Amino acid sequence: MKRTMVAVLLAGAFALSARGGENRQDGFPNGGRLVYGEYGRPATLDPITSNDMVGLRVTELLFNGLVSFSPKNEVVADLAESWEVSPDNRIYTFKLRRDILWHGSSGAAGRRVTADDFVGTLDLIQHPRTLTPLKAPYELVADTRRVSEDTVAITLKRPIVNGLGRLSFKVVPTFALLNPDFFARDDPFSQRPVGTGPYRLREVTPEGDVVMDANQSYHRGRPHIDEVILKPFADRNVLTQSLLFNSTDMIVQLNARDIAQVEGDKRFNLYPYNALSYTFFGHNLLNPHLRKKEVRQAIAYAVNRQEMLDSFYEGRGTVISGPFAPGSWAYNLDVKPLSFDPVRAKELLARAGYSRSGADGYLLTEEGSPLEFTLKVPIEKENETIKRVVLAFQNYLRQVGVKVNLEFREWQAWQDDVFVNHDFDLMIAEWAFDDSADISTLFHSKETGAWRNNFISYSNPEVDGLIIEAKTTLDREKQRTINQKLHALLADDQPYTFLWTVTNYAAIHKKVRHVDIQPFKFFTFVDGWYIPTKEQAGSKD
Amino acid sequence: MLRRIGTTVLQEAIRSGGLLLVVTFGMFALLSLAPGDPVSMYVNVQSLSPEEVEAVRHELGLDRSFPVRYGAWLSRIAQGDLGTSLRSGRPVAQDLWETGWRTLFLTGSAMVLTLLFSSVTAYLSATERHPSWASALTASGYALSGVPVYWLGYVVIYVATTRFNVFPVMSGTSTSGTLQWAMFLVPVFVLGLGNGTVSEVTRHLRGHLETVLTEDYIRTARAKGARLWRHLYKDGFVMPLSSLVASKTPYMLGGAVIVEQVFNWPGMGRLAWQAALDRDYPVLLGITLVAALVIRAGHMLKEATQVAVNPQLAS
Repeated sequence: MKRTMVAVLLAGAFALSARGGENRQDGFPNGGRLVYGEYGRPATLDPITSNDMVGLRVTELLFNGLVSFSPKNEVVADLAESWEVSPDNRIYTFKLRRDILWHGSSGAAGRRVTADDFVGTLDLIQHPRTLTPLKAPYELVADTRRVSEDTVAITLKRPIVNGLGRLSFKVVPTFALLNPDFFARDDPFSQRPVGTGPYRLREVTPEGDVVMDANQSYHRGRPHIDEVILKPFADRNVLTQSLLFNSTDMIVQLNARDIAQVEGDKRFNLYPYNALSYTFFGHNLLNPHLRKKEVRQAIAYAVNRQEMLDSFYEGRGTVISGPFAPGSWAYNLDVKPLSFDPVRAKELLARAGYSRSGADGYLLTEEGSPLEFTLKVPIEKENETIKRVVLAFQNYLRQVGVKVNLEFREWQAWQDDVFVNHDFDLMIAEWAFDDSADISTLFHSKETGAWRNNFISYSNPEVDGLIIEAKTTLDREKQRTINQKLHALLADDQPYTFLWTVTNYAAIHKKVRHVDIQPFKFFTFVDGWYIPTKEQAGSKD
Repeated sequence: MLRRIGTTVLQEAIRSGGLLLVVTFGMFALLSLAPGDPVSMYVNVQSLSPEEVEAVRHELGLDRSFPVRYGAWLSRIAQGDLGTSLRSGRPVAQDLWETGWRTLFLTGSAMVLTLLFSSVTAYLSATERHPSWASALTASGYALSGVPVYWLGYVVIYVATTRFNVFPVMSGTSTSGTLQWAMFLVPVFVLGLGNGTVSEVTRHLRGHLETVLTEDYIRTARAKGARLWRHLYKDGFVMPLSSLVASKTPYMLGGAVIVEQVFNWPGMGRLAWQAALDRDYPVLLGITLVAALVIRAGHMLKEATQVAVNPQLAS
């Protein structure tokens, strides 16, 4: 008989902190203002339609979910006080805090957050007419039910690993919407949201500045800093200048080439944080030459990845060996990155049948034409570092006799080429993962259609099998073993040239103290940040 | 007379209406031909099935054919509704209103600066009174016209921050520093002198002035000792300037897109850039409409001015 086990988790450190509406007991002063610069304006300010990083970060300031994440990315209580999981791991029953109030403005003013709001929010996300990036992740929810005013039960379609972490959606007051059943961007709520978060929206200025005030009745205690302002910039270089010129106090993600300059400036602290992401060159396996494993391996051997990382990112990152981010539990540390070995690369190319060179020094194919590939590069967010990387890549491959033609494409056009038409030989991109380290859509042979993530048309029955096995097990340790096997297999097969994961740096003025950053949800701990009273004046004039 | 004005206005209106139709249709066609669509702004396309993606496109009205969508857009425009932005959900009219006057201010001031600089240079070199000043100004005009406007923008920001300790970028809420209010002059300066038309405008004006200066009535004026300016300004300046304003307005609007990016100027150029990246066609069409109207208005202003100066042109 299956053992009946009911997991009851009591809320951790957060529930122990100050009660709603009171000052915090940490002895730090209140007051001051934090102005942070972002690259681009948020499209919307609500957590349902937000789909850009800038917008998502604002929603962390304005909203909360049932659960949240610790600095180490463990699930901790937020608006839920405690929870129970049914024996079959499908029903999650949350007991809600009773002291959560909606931000005091408009119709929602001071109303208490109840189970109905959570049911309403999930219904909203799942409504067919609501266009939201949350649709796919929340397809796993079969049913949301109000048990009592302070208890909500969420039933999943099937048990999954880390189901709790997947239920961290942010709650919205559905009664304050134009239409309580579904949510469209033209609902005024998307520009004037009402939430429960540490900060509440005061106004969006005509210049696009988002001005927010401390939520005096925040359930984790009043945030120390009085005012937080998001200032959008249209140019990355100017964004850094704004920091150096005291026009802003913080940049969430510093431009790689500006890191050294800001580091040398005594007014700022740099806070490194690692997102679960990595950069890679994808090889289109529909190309007959790239279908040969030796060619793919040769490309990896021909490229000095450490040198590129050192010169273009000042070494602030890690060269990787396989399909997971090194910060992830799924990463296999036993698999070492392929070394820089152009001689080996040439051998491998010769073994694959490319040993004759033409007059221009490039290797020849059987048909007598040079061995050449088109690398499609997205021009996204005027990222100059990527330009240097692809130019260096082109050079490295020239050394081993492979010709690379660079094609820079506008972002949407690039997406069409890569994701829809699969019209490329090589491409460069970055993957960002959540904690589930799910690579099934990247390498499973069923995921090769238009807009699917396996745009390189990779197909390996052994990999397919392991992916399915990893997906269906509920045991984290077993999953880890499978993922490590997958890692070793893919590192050998090189469907991608795995490059590196780069450390992000937030630059924050020294006057801001007690800064904790959650690598994936940047502002999770912003309520604990403070500015010493003496230094508050400077930011006020 | 009134009747003739009436017919002229009617003709102009018909012509402008036709022009707007052609321009917006062209814009619509371009956007439909361009790769990519706005769906990825709303959902993570990769994690949805093709049917689900199609449902999203249906909800956004993107599944209809190009002529149907254009027709729908036109019929809404006829009712005075510019639609809502696909990106932010805000009414396009509101976005245009909030950003439009800033861009008008930027480009208008920049235009005045261009004309002022060119007029002074042209006058000095045509009258040959201060040859050294004239050649210095002409040379700097050529140099400025050869410099790309975005580069000039960066250089100005660099010099301002490192040498003069000011940060000439628009900021809405915090005003640090005493001279911050005057910072709007910097982008005006950059766009006014760096838009690439200064040398051309100067040359045009100088050529025109030189011709006028050889006219008999100027010689007569000189002979009787009258002040030259009074006889010169209508033919020598007002006429060519009005046609220059009309012909250079599109350049100014184009330059504004870049200058607004660099100086964080929250105007229509920035809106246009973002909308182009997002394939946000209601916004792009709204901007196209406004830009075409402004250019058309510039042209009509030119016609009116020239008729006012020289009534013979009307017949």
